[in-house]
Amino acid sequence: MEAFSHEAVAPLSAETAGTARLHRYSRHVMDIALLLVIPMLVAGTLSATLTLFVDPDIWWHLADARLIATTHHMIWTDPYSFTAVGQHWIDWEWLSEQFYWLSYNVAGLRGIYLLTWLGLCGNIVFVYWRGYRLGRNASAALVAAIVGFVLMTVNSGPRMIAFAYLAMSAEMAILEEAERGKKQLVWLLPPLFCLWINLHGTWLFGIGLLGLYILCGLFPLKVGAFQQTAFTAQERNRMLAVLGLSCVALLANPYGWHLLINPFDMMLHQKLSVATIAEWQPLTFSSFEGKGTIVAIVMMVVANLVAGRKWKVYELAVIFFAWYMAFDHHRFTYLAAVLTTPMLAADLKRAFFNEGELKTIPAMNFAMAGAAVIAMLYFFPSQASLKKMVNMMFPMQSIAKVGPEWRTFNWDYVGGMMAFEHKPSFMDSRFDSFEHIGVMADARSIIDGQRALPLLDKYQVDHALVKDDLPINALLEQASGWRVMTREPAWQGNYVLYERAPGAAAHK
Amino acid sequence: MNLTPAQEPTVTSAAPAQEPAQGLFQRICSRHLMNMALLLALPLLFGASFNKTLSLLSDPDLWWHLADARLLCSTHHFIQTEPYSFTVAGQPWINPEWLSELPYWFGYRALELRGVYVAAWLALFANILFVYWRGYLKARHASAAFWAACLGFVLMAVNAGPRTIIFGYLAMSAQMLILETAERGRKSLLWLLPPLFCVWINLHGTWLIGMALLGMYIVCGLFPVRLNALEQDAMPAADRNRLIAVFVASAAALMANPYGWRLVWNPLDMIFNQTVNIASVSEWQPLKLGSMEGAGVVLGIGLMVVANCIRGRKWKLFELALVFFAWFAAIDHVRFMFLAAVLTVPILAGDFERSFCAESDGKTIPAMNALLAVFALCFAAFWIPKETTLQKTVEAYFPLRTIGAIEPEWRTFNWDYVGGRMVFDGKSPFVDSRIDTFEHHGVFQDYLRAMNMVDPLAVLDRYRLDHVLALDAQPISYLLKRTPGWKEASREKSASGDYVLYARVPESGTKTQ
Repeated sequence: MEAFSHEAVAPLSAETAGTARLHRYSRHVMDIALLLVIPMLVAGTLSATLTLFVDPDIWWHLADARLIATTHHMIWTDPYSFTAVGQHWIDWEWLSEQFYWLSYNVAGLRGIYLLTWLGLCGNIVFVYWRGYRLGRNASAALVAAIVGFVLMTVNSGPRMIAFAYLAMSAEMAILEEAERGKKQLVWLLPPLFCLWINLHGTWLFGIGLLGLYILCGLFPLKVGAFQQTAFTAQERNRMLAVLGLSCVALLANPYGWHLLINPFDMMLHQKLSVATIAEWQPLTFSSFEGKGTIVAIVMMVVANLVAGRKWKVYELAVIFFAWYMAFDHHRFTYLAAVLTTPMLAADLKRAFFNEGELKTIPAMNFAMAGAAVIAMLYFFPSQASLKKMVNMMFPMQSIAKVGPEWRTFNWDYVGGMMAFEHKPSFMDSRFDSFEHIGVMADARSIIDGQRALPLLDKYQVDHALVKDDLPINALLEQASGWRVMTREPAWQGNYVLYERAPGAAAHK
Repeated sequence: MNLTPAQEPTVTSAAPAQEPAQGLFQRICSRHLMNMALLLALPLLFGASFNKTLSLLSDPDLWWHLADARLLCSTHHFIQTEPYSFTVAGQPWINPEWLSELPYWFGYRALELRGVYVAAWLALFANILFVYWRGYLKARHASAAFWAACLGFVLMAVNAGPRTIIFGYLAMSAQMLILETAERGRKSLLWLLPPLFCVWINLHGTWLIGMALLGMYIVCGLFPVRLNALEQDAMPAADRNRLIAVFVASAAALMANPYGWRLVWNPLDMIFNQTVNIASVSEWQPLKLGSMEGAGVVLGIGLMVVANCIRGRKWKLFELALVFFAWFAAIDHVRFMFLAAVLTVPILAGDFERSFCAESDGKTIPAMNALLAVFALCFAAFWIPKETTLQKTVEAYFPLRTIGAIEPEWRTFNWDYVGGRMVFDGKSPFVDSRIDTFEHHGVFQDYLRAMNMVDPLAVLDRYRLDHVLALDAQPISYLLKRTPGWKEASREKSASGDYVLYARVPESGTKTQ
């Protein structure tokens, strides 16, 4: 009887386990398919609006990657402008750029679109997976990942930083797994940092977070909702060794210490860039990401009031850091998504999602996933529509007219495209080397119409390509010795190409 | 005989019980006295408006507020049409903050610039004191209330000048106090709200936020909640009906103002019809967390979260909604940090008391408190600046000589910053920092076009302008220097840079040199 019972129960539990697995996986398949299609429908860059090519940076990124791929040498001096040409400059995101260049070579503008989409979706799916691992509830992870997606829309274009956030998510996943007992995984961090530094300067945040993790784990705490035990000596030593190795691994890059100091240079010596670039400004709640931030914070607070939990100091510090950065600099809502979304998933599960995951219909899940895949194929844009968008964004005809010997003052927005089109520019949206040698400050003065004419003389500028709503335009229209060559409609206004009359006297 | 031994202990035990109670009361009072004196001196030491920086007189709005109040007091009529500029003169305009302007005007009449200084200082102090008192009533702990009020002062620094909104915030604190006292059982005090709103609408447009808060209070109290830390009972029918009646009476009381429905509409007009104003005025921009005020907000939120993690409490929906609204408003618009202070400081005092303040208020030395209070008061009396110092500050911020030289028949395009001062000096500006009426008539948009160099000469022509008063560093100044037909008439130094007055001369060409 005993043997019979055992045999009778075993197949039944295997069947149940199989059914449960099917339910769970079908749910994940549907969730992931939905998370893949949502950016195509909602993100301004990837939806029918197709604003991904509004980003001026992608063009000099492609030009960089082209230069490295064709010369087989890393870039050490500024290769594009006539103002900073030959000045020391390193290509600090060279590895991320190679992915875009490869995709562009393979599939043209559709390749850029595809990689942008996959970069964004990679991040969304990663936070979904981390959220699921923390909360063990697919619905909570899905809702949190959707909120995360809203926060990520701030950088949903063809940005190098998307790859860096994948690295950050990987770091957080490793630390989260270590918290669940898989301590050996922390040895993956040094190779991760070795990769990360070649992708983007956000590796500094990664090292900061790792340091914070170690620091917060050094002491025990049992006060109210704070509850944590200190690392054991072995754990502490392992973490310190990992941190040391990660720092060493950062040197494994083609620029050595130059690449290491790059983010510090950004913080200390590029104040003008930070002060003037829109995405470095404080978050506005009226924006899409701003609303997402409010929703995320409210959900997190309410969930913790409805069903509180014990906090580790590190978790609270990460949340403060993430929201602080998002409020202080609009661009870091993406960072906030990477850091907080998985915790939000766990909060939502605790407070609002009490139903088991097995309450789902696999066939319906697969049908939804199939519909999502069909939608992806349907919404994937054609090469012609993408080309049309590029032509709408930039004054392509005016840029084509720029001669190789011209010294053209240009609005920084079109500088990247000029670099891509092999035209010498005054400056582009890289900013760093231009700010170091004062060109950026001069460019701002010229654009704002302050001391503009003598500054144009200083750089021996003979042409200017500017938008007609910039202050400099009013000056050039009035200035003697300057005439309009062409006017071309483009993104949100007209571009005017000015020519200086040959032999015109210097401005007083 | 048997009674005596029984009575004696009663008498002897009552005397020591009363004595410590009285002593405790005195100690707490002395503690309050010291705290209030310190809070009085705090703005003088750390408020940029009141310390050596004396930035209160750099506020461009002060001058047209004074001009408004002067007009009201001299004509005994409320302003109904725009009285100062040559661009929108005679157009319908109401003075939405007429009552708040009067204390500054009376201060100015009595003590000139020192009067404005004292009025602004006392108004700020009253706000700090109000949140301190509300914090104490909430926490019943003077230290917790004091430190919360200090943080409140940091948040209030954003509007710590001679601003009319300060009186609006006093009304908001009064409203919150009434609601807080009602929560403690004195429901009949709610009937003070209608007269409060009647005063408030004449002080400042923030009455709209007050009405919204009252509405939120009613809505949040309509249902019971018991979800872990969220816990509240629904208000009884009698309370609900009383509150609805108070709300309606308050709404009706808003009409008791000299402008009627137009003053009620004013803040809504700001929201719906003054988008350019909100987009371009710096204090409507989002908060920079790296600024001093931003650090105050980070500190406030951080302390609130940590205090609630260390020792949690039960929350009512209204309290939670209030905290969210306050921090949301402060981060979205830097000017609303003051509002965040008014709404959250008392709650923060309660949090401080629960989580950080182990010692009782009784542990204090009255003599030392009195000494510190006297010291703070002496310091305050000593610190108030001289009239000549204040006059010099005004001269440093505004080109008074150039403004003085403007003739009545001139049509002068001016940077909006100096418009208020021109008004105060009896000169007609192109725009001033009221902005509202200028935006309604498209003048402000034209002003921005000219200042941002979008067809600036066409704007100067369209308004038949013959003079321009701008900073030397402004693009329009650079353009006019190089445009035939315009010449520099005068130049005057200021803290913001050189002001240049340009005059139109008969044209000799159109091209910039």
